[in-house]
Amino acid sequence: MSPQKPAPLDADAFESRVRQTRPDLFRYAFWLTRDPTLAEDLVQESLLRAWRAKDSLMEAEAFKPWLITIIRREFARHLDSGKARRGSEVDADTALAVTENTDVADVRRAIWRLPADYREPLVLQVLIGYPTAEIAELMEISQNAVLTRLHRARRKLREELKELVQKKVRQI
Amino acid sequence: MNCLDFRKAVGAEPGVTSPERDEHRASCPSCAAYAKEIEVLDGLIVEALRVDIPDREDKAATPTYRASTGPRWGAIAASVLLVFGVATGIWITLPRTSLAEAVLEHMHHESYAMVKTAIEIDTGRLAEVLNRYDAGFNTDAESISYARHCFFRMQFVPHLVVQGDKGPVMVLLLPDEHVDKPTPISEEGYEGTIYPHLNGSIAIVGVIGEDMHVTGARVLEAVDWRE
Repeated sequence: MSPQKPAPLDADAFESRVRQTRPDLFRYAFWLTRDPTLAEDLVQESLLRAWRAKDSLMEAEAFKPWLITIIRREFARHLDSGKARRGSEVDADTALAVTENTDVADVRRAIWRLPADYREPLVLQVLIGYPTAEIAELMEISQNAVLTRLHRARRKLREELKELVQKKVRQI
Repeated sequence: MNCLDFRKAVGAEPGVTSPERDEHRASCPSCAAYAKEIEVLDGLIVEALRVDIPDREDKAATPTYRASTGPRWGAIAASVLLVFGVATGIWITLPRTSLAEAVLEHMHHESYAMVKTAIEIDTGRLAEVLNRYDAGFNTDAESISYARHCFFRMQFVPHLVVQGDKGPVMVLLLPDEHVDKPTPISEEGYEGTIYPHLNGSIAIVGVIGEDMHVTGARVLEAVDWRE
């Protein structure tokens, strides 16, 4: 007996999943683009594409990874179109809505300054919860390359945030 | 496992454990301290990555762009960017889609619905689409050929096509998309208006040749969108 094709997502199910995943989708797009407006545009365009192609989604559980892939492709398309350069024209404090110097603001600025190749796998691992294999598949690089980038990203952040990290360790 | 391998492994996947890692950590105070620092660092990273998201429901964008009423996220952000760009002498060019452009774009996305036809949709289907928005439509006055929930600027909206005197007329009920006054929109072959409404706005677009002043007013009359 051949496996039965799951029923396509209806509007309610789609909307419900959008509500659940939208914060992560926006944050992923934000750290990918470092531009809140562009991030919102990307998420919106990606949701539209997803809605039109929703019948091709085989497993409802794959909704978020599916959207993450679409957002990444949309951003690549955006870059290819020549409308933007990789890396934002918006300065960190404006985009991050930073109005004062706090520990979180310092960490955000440090992440902001990471090279895009280091920042993206870190976001996917820490924020989205992707295992190394999924990051490698999405970024189309080897798992060893992912591990190296993750290690270097944390090493760089640790160096930049040494005082803050040690202060927090002492507080434990 | 030596110290270098341990630190690489911890730096790449702090949450992963293995007997080799545990053994090294227990026997090397320096690497144990390193691992502790990375764990603390990861806690800070998690918190930092969770930036505020633009929230359509309470109209809050991010703290910097927050406004109590009026323009939406895109417009607010665009104006902030504009001010920033001018102030720094850098003209920032990012793609922007106005509400009018988005309405026309959506019409083109579903251009198959913009057809002249005598076939009306089932009233049950129409009610199913409109009920969730607390809306109704007087079908005695107008003939409706299409009704669907559509994803439009980060929300679902009801999209109807009414058969006008000369051809199809698209009607979008747009919750939370506010305009100050009736805003004309036009594009080759199409024209219409976005009308203010207490719940947001209503976009009505028809083909050239349709008297949109008359048809628009008639369609507005037929729409019953409760506050």
